[in-house]
Amino acid sequence: MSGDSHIDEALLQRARDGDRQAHAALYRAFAPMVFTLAYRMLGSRAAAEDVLQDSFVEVIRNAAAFRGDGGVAGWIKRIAINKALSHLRSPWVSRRTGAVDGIDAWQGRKLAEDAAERSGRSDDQAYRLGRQQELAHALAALSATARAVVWLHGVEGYTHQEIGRLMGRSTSFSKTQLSRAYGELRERLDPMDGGEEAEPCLGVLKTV
Amino acid sequence: MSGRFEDRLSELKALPELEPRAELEPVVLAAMSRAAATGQSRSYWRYLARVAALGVAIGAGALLAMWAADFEEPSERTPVAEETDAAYFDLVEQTAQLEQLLALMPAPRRAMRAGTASTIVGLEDRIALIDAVLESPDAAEPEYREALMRDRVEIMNALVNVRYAQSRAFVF
Repeated sequence: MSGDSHIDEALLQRARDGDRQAHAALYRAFAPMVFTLAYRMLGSRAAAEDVLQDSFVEVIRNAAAFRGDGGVAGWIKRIAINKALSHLRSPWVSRRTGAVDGIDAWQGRKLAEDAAERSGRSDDQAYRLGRQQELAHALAALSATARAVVWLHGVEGYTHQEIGRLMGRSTSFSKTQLSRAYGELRERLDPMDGGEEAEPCLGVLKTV
Repeated sequence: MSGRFEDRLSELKALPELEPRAELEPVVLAAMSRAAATGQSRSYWRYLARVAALGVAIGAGALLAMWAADFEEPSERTPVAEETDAAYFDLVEQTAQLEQLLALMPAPRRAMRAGTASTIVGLEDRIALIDAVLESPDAAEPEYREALMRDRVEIMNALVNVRYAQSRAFVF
């Protein structure tokens, strides 16, 4: 993950004052983090690139408002999350729910097998790479809102209450979205492991 | 939820970080530079607006003070000559502040509306005329000097406002 040990408030101030080297330093330190977050939440490279640009412009505009809480990385991540959610709320966002980029879970599995085969051995590294691809594609195949909820709850550690507030919806909206999303992910990733008779989703029971 | 599925979900956090396309970097950096330039421009104009507002407030305050002074009983105050001198030096101070304010403003742009340019030139001519009279022996009488200086403050105020409005017209 991107680190920000060398990024301090002074650099942020220089960036706000128009120092191009400071802009480049900020971009190189945080662009992968912002792009990854946006891509995982939105499932579209083009949308993630829009969010990337909007986020960095917002960073410059609001640099004076940074108070040091949570560090520069956390602050930029919050900006990126808000930008991604704004994008989701945009009427221009298509509400795709099917397979994304022509790759579905089956193809993800195939990629996993190929990766293992290419390496000449079924070792952990090759297998893990394939599983990650499979997981990434299963995530991308969710609806935009469900995907955002899964990412915010499962990876960024947001509570249902926070997610509901960020999305302008209720807490139970977030719980419902997560429950459905986990159901879909389970079917894609472990079709033999439950289906409709699976236990209730832990994500809902673990409400915080 | 089964252990296997929970394990898979925990792998979400371990998904690899993605790199944006290299071609995107100059585009985003250019957008950041524009945002910084816009921010600086906004700060500058906010500062200028505050300074201009201060100048207008000073002018209005001085006019009010002078208006109030007209109604005061001369007998309860200092001698008339001293009072006139004090009022005169107040006015001199105000014009000096307005001069400083004008010096802070960017030079007038070459491209401006003819009406605005004509107004600015007219105000500057009137100030120059007052300055010329103030330096002549005709202005030896204190009341007359004070009246001239009061006119100078009003004209300077008008000039500051016109120059401020003119420079703002080119912000966007």
